[in-house]
Amino acid sequence: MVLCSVECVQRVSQYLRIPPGNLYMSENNILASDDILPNQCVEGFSAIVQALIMNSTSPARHLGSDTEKQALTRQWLEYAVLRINYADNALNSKRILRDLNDALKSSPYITGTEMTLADVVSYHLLHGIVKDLSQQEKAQYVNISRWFDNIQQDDEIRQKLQLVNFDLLNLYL
Amino acid sequence: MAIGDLKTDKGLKELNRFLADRSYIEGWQPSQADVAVFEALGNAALGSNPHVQRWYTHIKSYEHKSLPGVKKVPSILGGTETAPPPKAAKPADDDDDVDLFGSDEEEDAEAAKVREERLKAYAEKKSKKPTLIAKSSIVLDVKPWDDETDMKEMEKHVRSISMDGLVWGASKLVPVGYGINKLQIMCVVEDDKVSVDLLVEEIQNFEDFVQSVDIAAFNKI
Repeated sequence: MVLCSVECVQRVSQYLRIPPGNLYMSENNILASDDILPNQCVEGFSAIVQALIMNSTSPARHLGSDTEKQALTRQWLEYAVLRINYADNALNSKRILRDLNDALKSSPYITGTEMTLADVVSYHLLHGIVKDLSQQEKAQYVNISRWFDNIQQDDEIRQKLQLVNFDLLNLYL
Repeated sequence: MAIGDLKTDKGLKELNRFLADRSYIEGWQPSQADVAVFEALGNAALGSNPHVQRWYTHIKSYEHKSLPGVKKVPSILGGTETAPPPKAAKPADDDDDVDLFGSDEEEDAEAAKVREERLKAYAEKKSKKPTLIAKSSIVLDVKPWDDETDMKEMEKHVRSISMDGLVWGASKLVPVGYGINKLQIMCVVEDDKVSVDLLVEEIQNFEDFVQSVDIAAFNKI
């Protein structure tokens, strides 16, 4: 099982209000989409998400306002594919939570002071993990909790996902 | 949750705790509440408060005027009243418009009065707060006249001095030489209530026993 699935792309495309095209798993077990770019088959989760961003109304808002931030966003999208993708196994998830917790220590969003699609994608990928964390673990990964809580307040991002409760967090800090 | 004076370490620690699980002071996006706290912080050194630091750099990255919300002292700083309306910022030609708020000035006076009252109440409340009592721990060296002085009796006399805010502690005899010992005695005094000079003088008043009194150590607690 991997997390960067068809379903995740569908949710991101719903957030961007861009049709995801014809999504399928290719023979090499790589996510692919036929109709995002004209007459071209886009392969790979990160590539598909980036193609979706480029098709959206304001790519700069989702990718970052300058080239440096855009590069950072792309890197985090790769991180999503290479690492968060496998977070459904307990050992991996601990490491990813630790990494992300460190990354979010000095900035409110993954790529810095702007919310980008890297946040949205990571939120969707991590939702299943964060919602099952105990209160102690939420307090342990307080930077993730804060970030997650902030992201999930946007209805357009959260969509049908369950609102994770962080109300009692400060009792455990 | 209210946060104390942001200029103090304690206030910063509280803000740090507050921001641990929040990205913004109020709600889920930057607002004037953030700006208010940001300005209240001023140029204060943030110290080792990672959450405050993160929030501070984040808010710094915004154009403050463009943030939504009404500028007021946010509730976490204990404020409920609005800051003085930004009248000065209004362009001057506003004055030519029909004055829809005829009683504006009167209201201002009233608001000022209310504000003054609140400030007064706040100051009163603050003054009632128990202030930290400053205490000092002192070690005194009491020297006798000669080796024939009864040190036990001397200690008894010294300990017989009682003042409000003075507590005697442990004591010991320290040899000085030629069989003479000096009495080293500890005491804790409240700075406001006990004058150390007076205490030394009192001990020296036991002229039969005491030759001199020195302050060996003086530490603020």
